[in-house]
Amino acid sequence: MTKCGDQEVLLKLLELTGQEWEANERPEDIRLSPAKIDALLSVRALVASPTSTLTAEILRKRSPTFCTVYRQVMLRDLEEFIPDGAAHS
Amino acid sequence: MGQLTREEIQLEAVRRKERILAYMTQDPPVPLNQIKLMEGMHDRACRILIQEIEQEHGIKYLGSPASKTAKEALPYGLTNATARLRGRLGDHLYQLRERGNNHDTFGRNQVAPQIGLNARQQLRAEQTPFNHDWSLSQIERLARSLGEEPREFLLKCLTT
Repeated sequence: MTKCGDQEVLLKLLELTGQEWEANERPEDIRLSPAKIDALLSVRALVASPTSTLTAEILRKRSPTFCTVYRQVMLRDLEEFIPDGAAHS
Repeated sequence: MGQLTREEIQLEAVRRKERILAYMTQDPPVPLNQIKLMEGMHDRACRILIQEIEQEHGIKYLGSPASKTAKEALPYGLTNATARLRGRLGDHLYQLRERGNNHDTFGRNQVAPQIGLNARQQLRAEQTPFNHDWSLSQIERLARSLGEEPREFLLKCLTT
């Protein structure tokens, strides 16, 4: 499978996951699940990685429901990265 | 990502406080470990920030049952098979300790170092066995202390 194909599969899976979670779970419940938070943080790490071709823009276009769920759960957008020390500036 | 200005950093700090307040006040509240994970913060920094929020909003979160991760929840990726094995190992540790308290040369305090546990780990392995992550060397020492062959002992624990 080509790299482009891999990304297509990932985007489809993320969209399906987003739809599943949006239909069956409240954001409050997702926040209590370490496995689901781990999955959300892994996607964020992938978007942040300089070597990854997956960008927040692609994700918003191709997996919109996942991005919506991400925002509802994490209370911020995928591309928002918190700088170190922001809590005590 | 470029360098943020002082104003942008301050704005991020305000947003982070708002998010953590939302996590703390939802029903049921998000445990502290989960908040640290979601915000990518170290324990100390997260606790200090939560204390500030508690003072500002007059709420009590740290130390409450809601801030702690449920003890019965298995760590990510583990199943009940691991919980059963840990339970069996806890039973055997208890038997070894009881044996020592009755008539053998081992006493309560001598059992832990013999297995390679410290006193706190021994209590955890016996009283909340699902929370103790046994190492292979501890299991082998436990088996030998019980006079059993480690391989047979582990198979017995896994299959009964």
